[in-house]
Amino acid sequence: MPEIQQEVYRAVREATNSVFSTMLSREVTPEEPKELVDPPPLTGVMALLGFTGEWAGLGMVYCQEKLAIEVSSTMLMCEVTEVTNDVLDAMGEVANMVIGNVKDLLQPTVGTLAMSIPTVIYGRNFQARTTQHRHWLIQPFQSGGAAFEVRICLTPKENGAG
Amino acid sequence: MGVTVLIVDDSAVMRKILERSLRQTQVAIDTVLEAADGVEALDRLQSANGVNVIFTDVNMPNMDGLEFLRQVRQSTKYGKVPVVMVTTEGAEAKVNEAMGLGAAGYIKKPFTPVQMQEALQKIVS
Repeated sequence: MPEIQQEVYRAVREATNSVFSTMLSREVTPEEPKELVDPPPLTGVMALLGFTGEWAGLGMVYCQEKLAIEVSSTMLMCEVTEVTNDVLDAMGEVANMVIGNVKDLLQPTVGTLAMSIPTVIYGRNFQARTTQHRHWLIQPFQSGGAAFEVRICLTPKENGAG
Repeated sequence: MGVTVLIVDDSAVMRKILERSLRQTQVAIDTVLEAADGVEALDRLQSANGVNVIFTDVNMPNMDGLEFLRQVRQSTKYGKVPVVMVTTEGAEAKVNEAMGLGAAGYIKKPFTPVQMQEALQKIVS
C-alpha cells in the first residue's frame, strides 16, 4: 500500500477515535480499510466536507440513521427518535471534527489544506463525487454494534488544474 | 452575580454542548447568548447589556471567527471582551493569526470539560 494511503488511514483512525471518545464517550473499533473507484450509491446519513489546497478532494462520515440518532441523543443529552434537523446538525459537527482533525494530521505531508463547512445529506441511493477525483479510501468502524465509515478522496492537483 | 457568555457557532448542537460544558464549570454563568455566525454575533454584542466572555468557532458562513475577532477588537464598545476560539481548525498559521489578533485562548475540537473550565477560569479570575 502506498505510504500516503497508510497515512490517510492512520489519520482517520486517530481523529475518529479522538472525537468519539472525547465528545461521545463511545469506543470505536477500526475494521479492514478498502479502496473504491466510483463507489456504489449509499443510503443513510452522509456528512461531507471539501478540501482545497495543493491537494484537493472530499472527506465524509457515513452511517445508517440508527447510529446518527444515537450519536445525536448523546450530543444533545436527550432522547431522539427520528432523523431531525438536530440529527443532521450533530452529524455535520461530528464530520467537521473528524475531517478537520484528519486535515491537521495530513498537512505536514500534503501541505496546507482549507476545508469547507459541512453539508449533510439524508436519503436513499445517493452518490458523491468531485470533478476530477474518483478514488476513495474507506475506513470502516464498529461502535456499539453499529457500523459507520470515514471516506477520504484526496489527490494532488495536476498542473494547471483549478 | 454570574458572568454573561456569548457563544458563536454555526452548529446549534455545538452551541448547546458548549453551553452545557460552561455551565458544568465552577464559574457561575448568569446568561448565555447565542449567535450562528460573526454577523449575528456583532448584532448580539450591540444589543446586549454587557458580555464578559465570547467563545467562537472559526469556520462559519457569512463572517468567520477570525474576521469577527478582528471586528470585536476594533470596537470601542466591546473591544476588550476576551474572545476564546473553539474550533477544529488547528493549522499553526490560523492559531498564530488568532493569537496575534488578541484571542484570549484557542481550544481545539474535540474538547474536554476540563479545557473549558481552565479557559473560563483563567478569564474570570
